[in-house]
Amino acid sequence: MLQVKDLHANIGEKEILKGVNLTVKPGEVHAIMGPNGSGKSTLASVLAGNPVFTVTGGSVTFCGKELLELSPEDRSHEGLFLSFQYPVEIPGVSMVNFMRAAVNEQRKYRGEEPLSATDFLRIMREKREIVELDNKLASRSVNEGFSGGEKKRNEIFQMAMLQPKLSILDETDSGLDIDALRVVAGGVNKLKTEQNATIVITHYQRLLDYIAPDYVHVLYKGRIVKSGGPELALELEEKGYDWIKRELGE
Amino acid sequence: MAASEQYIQLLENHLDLIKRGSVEPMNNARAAAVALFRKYGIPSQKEEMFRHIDIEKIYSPDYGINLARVAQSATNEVYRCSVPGLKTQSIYVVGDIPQICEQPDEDVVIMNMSKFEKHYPQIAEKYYNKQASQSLDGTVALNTALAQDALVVYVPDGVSMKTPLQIVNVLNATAPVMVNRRLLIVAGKNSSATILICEHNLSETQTLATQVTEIFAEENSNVEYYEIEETASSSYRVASLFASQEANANLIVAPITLHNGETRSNYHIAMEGKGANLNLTGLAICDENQVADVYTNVHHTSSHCESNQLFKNIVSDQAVVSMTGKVLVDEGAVKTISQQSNKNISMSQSARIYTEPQLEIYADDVKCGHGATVGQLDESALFYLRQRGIPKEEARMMLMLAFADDILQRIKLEPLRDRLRSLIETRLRKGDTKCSGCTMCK
Repeated sequence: MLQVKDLHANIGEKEILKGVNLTVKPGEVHAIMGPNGSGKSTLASVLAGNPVFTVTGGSVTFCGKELLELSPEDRSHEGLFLSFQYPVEIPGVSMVNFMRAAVNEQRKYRGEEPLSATDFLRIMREKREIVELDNKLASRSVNEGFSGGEKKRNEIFQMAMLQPKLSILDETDSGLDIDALRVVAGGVNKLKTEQNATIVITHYQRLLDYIAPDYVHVLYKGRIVKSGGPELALELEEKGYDWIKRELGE
Repeated sequence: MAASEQYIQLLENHLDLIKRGSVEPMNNARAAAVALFRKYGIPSQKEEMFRHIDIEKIYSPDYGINLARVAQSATNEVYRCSVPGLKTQSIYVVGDIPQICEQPDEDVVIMNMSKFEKHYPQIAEKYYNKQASQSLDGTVALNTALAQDALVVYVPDGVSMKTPLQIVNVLNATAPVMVNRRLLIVAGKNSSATILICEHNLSETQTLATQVTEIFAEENSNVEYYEIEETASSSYRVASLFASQEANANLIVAPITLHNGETRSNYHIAMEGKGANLNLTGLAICDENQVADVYTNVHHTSSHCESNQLFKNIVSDQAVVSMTGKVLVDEGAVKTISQQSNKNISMSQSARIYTEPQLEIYADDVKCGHGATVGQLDESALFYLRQRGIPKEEARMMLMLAFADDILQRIKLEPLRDRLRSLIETRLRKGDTKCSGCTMCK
């Protein structure tokens, strides 16, 4: 589904990604862990096409297409979803209008008719229940005045609406208390199928108690320096990132 | 001074003609206005208050003025302008001649001054030019010196205007002309009035429309004044609005510029009675070489008043917008609450935005704040929308409409709010200048 080969990316003059390789197949859950500043969020942003970053080398194919040649909106239409670490507040844009535009743009891309108002509202209602998102929030402006937990639930709600092939969850656990974490992770698990895949980016092992990964990768200084199964996450939790640094001879 | 000179000449040569075409209350104010204009003239761009617009350039062309009061025929059919879903009583001001055809609201008096001064001479004398005469702005004095007729809206004590009044200002000139319009609104004690001004200019030639509006909001009155400017690129407009608010009077003044040429708007609001409340809200969308220059002066002379100003601009191309907003709180005006905010979005490198808040506070125990922002659309919000599949142009549109939305939220007249929302969208999408609700725009 996703092949990342030797991906390099800069912000301004500073190189953040220094040759990332990663392959994700349908049905898989990959966790990407690593200390602060290792490039985890940059990887997520670059894959989603954030214009703040410049790709300086490497290639990414996504479902047979050259991902890096697509605009952010077309990456979304092709089925790539990013759950933001810091969801943006957009006063004056209502959640309903935002989601209707997003869903119908996706349908347009696929040559489908726009959803009728009734169908759209029914789907909104169904998907809201997956993350127990209050109807009141759905009628407000996008993320405006939402608590940290509500923002993250809202991300997963949008993921449910758009039914992506590949979801990248960037630090979805940050700022969540244990109850919210359970709801959010529960939502992700409900949306899991054999056809879609998830990349979970996290600093802590905690989230992986709820969303079980098939593979765990350690990103450090812009490269994936270690990959393994779920046990790697536990090892990291026990030994800390210093252990990786020592292994690398630092 | 060259610009001033031709008007001084005009006043010297034609004062009798001007007076003959006018009526007593207006002629009574004229001599002092002429003297004031001789003293101050057309303001130069060197003056602090006029730095961002060239008023002398605006007044320089050799405009024709209809001093002989040749009536232009206008029927509602020719110039009809309407807001879908909003029932209004309409007055057309063609050039600077008010044409009053219908008057369904019987308790409210809507007349031109020549008729009004016969029926209500004391009211005319008591209110006409009483605020404007305090101004030291030469453009205001010149309007008083040249204006020959005024539209008067008089809402007596205790009367509520049942149907909103729509005043459609129309200019359709084939040669350069100057029109001098005058509007007097008197809202008596415990009265209410909703007034919508639609400013249209169909002229393809250079024109100058000057306007002086005076609003007297007496005790416990509620006045809503909306203004939609939808004029041609060759239109110059210099408009001054004066309002005084007595105790517990509520006033909304909301000018929206959808399309214009170059406009200078002054708002002088005096909060003279305890507990008065002001909402002064504006939006301008400017592109190409358009100029929208706003000056506000909110004077708190009484205690327990609240003023709220919010002006927003969306500019692109070489457009220039500016807002200079002064809030003056007198020594006795304790418990004043005053908020002023100016927010701007620039869509191009070559557009210019000037913003200058000025606060002068002489009272203790007040809550006053001001703020200004100038920037581009929020890149992180733009990326967020695009990540969800909304194309870049559509995402930009959503953010611009969202930016305008809190201005719309302050417009109480719901059909107007809905109408404006769609007009703003059309304007931003197509650069369209047509509001298409009226015969004029078809």
